[in-house]
Amino acid sequence: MQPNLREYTLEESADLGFKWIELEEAGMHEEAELVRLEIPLLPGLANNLKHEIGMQAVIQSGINLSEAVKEYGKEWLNA
Amino acid sequence: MEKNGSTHKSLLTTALHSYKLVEIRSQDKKQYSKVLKTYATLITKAMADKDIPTLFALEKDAQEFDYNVAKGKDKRRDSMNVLDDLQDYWAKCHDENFVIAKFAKSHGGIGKSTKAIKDGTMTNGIISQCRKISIIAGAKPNPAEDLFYSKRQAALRFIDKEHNQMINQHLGLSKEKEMGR
Repeated sequence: MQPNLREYTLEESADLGFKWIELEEAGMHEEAELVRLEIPLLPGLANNLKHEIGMQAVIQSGINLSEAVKEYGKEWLNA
Repeated sequence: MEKNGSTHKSLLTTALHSYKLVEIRSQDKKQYSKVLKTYATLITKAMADKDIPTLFALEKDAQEFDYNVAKGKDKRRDSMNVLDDLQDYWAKCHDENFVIAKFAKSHGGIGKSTKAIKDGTMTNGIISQCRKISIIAGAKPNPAEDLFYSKRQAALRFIDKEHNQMINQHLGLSKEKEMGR
């Protein structure tokens, strides 16, 4: 599985967050989860997640790592 | 709702995105408050469940949020190291023999306590973490920020309380035992 590195502007990222929460509140959990995974995780938080569950599991979760790769470089995905 | 510990990270990410846009888009102010309140709810639940590993994880990620909010104003990375050390210490203190040996050494010159004690290593670390949260919260947090920061401080004090109970149980100094004497 390839890492999710789709890039979004700050406004688009914020809007994804709003949409995620709206869908959760509407009980549409599966749709909400798909939107949540598109939110580019803050680099430090992505790094915490990597330490908690390992890089392979992070990539397989499908969560957006574009900001983390911008901050730490592509080698961060392999380290 | 929590997926591999990443859901609350998505919440904090959304909080930061909203925080950065608050001056530009009006809807972000409301969203920012809402997300911080939701995060405080996660902390409340972990406290109710006495889930100390989750409380440490929530605080660690919240400090990452602080670092992004206060970039350049504060040495948050130092604080994160201290939090990691406190978590490691808490994990070590699950071992009764480690606790007995540690306190036998430090109380060696003054004799063994007969009353419940406070573990300064943890308590002083927690006080320092709470102080840093107060600094980052600033003088005038909005109600949601106030809830977010005060709930984190309550969670740290809760960790300290639970830790001290565990220490005293290992040392045979728990309040239940004292009452039974």
